[in-house]
Amino acid sequence: MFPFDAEVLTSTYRLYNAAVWPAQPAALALALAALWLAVAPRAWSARAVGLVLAAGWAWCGLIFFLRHWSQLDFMAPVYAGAFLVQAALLLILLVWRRRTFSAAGDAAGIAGLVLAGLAIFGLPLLSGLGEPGFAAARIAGLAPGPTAAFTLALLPALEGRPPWLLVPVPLLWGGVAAVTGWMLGVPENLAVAALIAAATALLVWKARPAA
Amino acid sequence: MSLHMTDWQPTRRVVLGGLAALPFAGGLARAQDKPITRAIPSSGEALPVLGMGSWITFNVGEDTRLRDQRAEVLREFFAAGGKVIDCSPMYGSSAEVIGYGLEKLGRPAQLFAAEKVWTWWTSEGPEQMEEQRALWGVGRFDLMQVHNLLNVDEHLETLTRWKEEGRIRYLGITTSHGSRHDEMEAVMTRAPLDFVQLTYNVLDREAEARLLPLAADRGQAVIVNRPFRQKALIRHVEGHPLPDWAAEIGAATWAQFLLKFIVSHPAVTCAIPATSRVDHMAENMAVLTGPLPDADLRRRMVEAVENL
Repeated sequence: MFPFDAEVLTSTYRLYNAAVWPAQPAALALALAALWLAVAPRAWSARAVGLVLAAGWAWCGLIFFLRHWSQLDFMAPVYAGAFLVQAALLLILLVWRRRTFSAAGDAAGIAGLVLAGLAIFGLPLLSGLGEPGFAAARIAGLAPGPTAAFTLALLPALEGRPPWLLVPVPLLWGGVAAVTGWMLGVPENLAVAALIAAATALLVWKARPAA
Repeated sequence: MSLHMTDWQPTRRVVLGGLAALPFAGGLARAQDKPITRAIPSSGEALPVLGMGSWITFNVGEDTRLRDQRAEVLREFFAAGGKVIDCSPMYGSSAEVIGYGLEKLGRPAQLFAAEKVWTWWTSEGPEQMEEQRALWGVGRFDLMQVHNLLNVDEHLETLTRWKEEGRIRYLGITTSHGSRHDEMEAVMTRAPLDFVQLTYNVLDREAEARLLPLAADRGQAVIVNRPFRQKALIRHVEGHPLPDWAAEIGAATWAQFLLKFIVSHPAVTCAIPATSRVDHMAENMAVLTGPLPDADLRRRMVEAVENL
């Protein structure tokens, strides 16, 4: 089903990380700033987070998929298109529509922020402490899995109804990650899928009708 | 009885006759020193009965360590007498990695380069084939196939023209996973093909009913893909002991057992197992120089695997 194996997947992330260095510390700093803006929100927080997330999705579409992944996988242009659509949706639904993060912080929002933290730190640690090593670590904003998980995990912290249009692309990517992880035996992909599933469950739980 | 089949052409009667009329029927071929070959029906050119696929295994991107390792797989392939290497634009960086390996090995003269055209758009076909040729670093492809019957009639027009112009030597079509046999049969019947590529192995034997006899009847060489169901067949048999009688056909491992079943079918020209390991390549290629099963043993091979 996939035209590559686990060894090549790791090797590609290693070469990609070397090619885009020093984007990693910048991406980590931006992701941390976005997380902080969701934890301690200001009036403009959601717009700033929307910009950061949109930049990450656009980077993944243009740089990761089209420039690096396309040599391995004929599906890369399709993935790139989906990631660019998600970047546009983030600009519309978080930046243009001026959503705000909840200052009070309900249970779903807090749990989502924990998942977002795991997407930033847990996923690279999983690579770093495992066989791939830190050289092949996947960073939110630069690699598709952590970017999708981080994005979805921040949404329960928004005030009001969840922006459902922001869910399908990350959810689909979670499906791709799950199948890849299962078929190739890649723990990082399974962790991405688990984070995305958990974040989606939080959104559904938050949107449930009041008793 | 010798199993050198360079001059032997399968006929519909032989194929439909359950292999009973094979030249080696009723006994085993003696061990061969030279690679077992089959003739391409349209030309008589001999090909070893084992080639090499590249799906997944050669798609290693730009990693130099992995590229060098795959070059060693190619070295083993050629050293064992291999010729046919099959690839596709669908296989990511595989064509580029094959080209890297061929360059490293000094461009072995025995290479039989088989590629595919894989695009919905007819006008894009020539450009894609040229790109693949450049990646392989060959002057021309020996065989160009329409991948998975995609836009098959339009691409076959292009391939026919290219063959007339000497830009390719043979043309063909492919399918895999045992799918679209009806459509493949229709194209095999109406088009002057040199090659067809399809899935055939000890458990996926649908091709025995119509496609393999038709190929023999129409004088079309047959390349067999997915001989191990992409490792699934190996997983199916591993852990089980080989039947005692496997030694009679020189099969020391399950991989050799499975390959010998495929290439002993009279309509099959070659099988193209894919591997990323030198030791597995050596194991596969050993099939080129041993005895092959007769019709009775082939039946026992099917029973042995089905009953695991």
